[in-house]
Amino acid sequence: MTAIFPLNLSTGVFIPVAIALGFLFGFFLERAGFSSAIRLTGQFYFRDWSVLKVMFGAIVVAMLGLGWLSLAGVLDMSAVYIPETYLWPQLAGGLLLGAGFVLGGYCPGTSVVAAATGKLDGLFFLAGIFAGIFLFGSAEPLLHDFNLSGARGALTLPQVFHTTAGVVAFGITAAALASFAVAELSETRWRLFEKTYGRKK
Amino acid sequence: MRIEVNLTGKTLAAAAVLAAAAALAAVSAAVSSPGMNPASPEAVVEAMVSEKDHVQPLELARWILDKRKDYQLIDIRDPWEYDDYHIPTAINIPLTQLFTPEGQKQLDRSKTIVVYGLGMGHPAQTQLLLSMRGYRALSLKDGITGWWDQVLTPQSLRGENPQPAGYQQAKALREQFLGGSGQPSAGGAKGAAPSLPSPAPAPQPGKTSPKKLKLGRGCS
Repeated sequence: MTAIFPLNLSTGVFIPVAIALGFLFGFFLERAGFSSAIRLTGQFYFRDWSVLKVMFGAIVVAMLGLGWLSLAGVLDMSAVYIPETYLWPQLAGGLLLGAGFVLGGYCPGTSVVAAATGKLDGLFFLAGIFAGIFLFGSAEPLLHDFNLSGARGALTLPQVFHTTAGVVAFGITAAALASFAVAELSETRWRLFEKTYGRKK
Repeated sequence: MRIEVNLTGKTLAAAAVLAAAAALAAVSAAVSSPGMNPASPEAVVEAMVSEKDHVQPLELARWILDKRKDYQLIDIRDPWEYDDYHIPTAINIPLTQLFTPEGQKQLDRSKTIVVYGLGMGHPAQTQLLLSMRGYRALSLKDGITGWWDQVLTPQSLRGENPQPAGYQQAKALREQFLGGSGQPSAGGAKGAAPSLPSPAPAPQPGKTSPKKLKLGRGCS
């Protein structure tokens, strides 16, 4: 069976498909309640674990889907692009993004969704993203060496742990389910707390 | 303070997801798939250094005689070279077609892929490409030249006074793969192997020398 994915689309077809997928992504982020900064930052108070549930759930669904489609020969995994690892800049970037998430209440994708639903803070956040992109681009010559430090190539977890992709997928699935259980427990405790002492304003 | 969490429906869903992941782990260990478990450069080097990236001609001959089904033998030479002579059970996928969709379709992902050509150059590179795409792949040590030297015209069959011990075994192998007086070639090989005379102390006139097979050109 010849792999049909990844689809080999011409630019004329690819762009509309990408835009349609972008709208779908935004739509489902909105339906998950991710256009609300209160909902999103609830994660950092361990009050509302929707972010972890939706994102980790999406990772597991995509991971198992890719695995099974690849084994069925529908998908050619070797043609799927794997972003390269640059350890130190990605660590710094991840921390910076997390700090921005806590402070601003959004991550880049959700800020677009918030802005699209007419939320003013989302709009400001979006403006901040573009200002940040401009700043980063201007400072790139200074950061160039750092941005390329810790290069590991297209590194994957099976390579790091010297095991098969299936075993890694199983481990990640188990970790996701364990985190969902913790989330349920934490949310139940919060509901109980709020029932007893009233919701914090 | 006791906390009641009703998880019946969720527990079922979680169990189903975990089962899907466990099945994936089990199946992906048994079946290689392009891109799923690509060998890292370190693993490839490790296989090279420990000589686990190739199979010896005599070992392959043993696999063929044992009618093993867990390998797929691929001849990556040109079709005319394959038609001239090929190792029994081999199928022909020329190197230029191996990584096209049609070529990939012919590869059996559940088996160890053994590639061979005339020598070691192209097959070794092909073996590398296949392992880095997630196949379990080996190359035949020294290619069809090594096959010729070790299986078809082994040392013990050459010379004036062949050693009796290795002679019978080597002669049997040779006859197996070249036709001769033994049984026809093992496996479902496409096309018959050229029938060559068994080595005699004095070459008979009018027959081709058994030491020369047209093995094709170049280092393929």
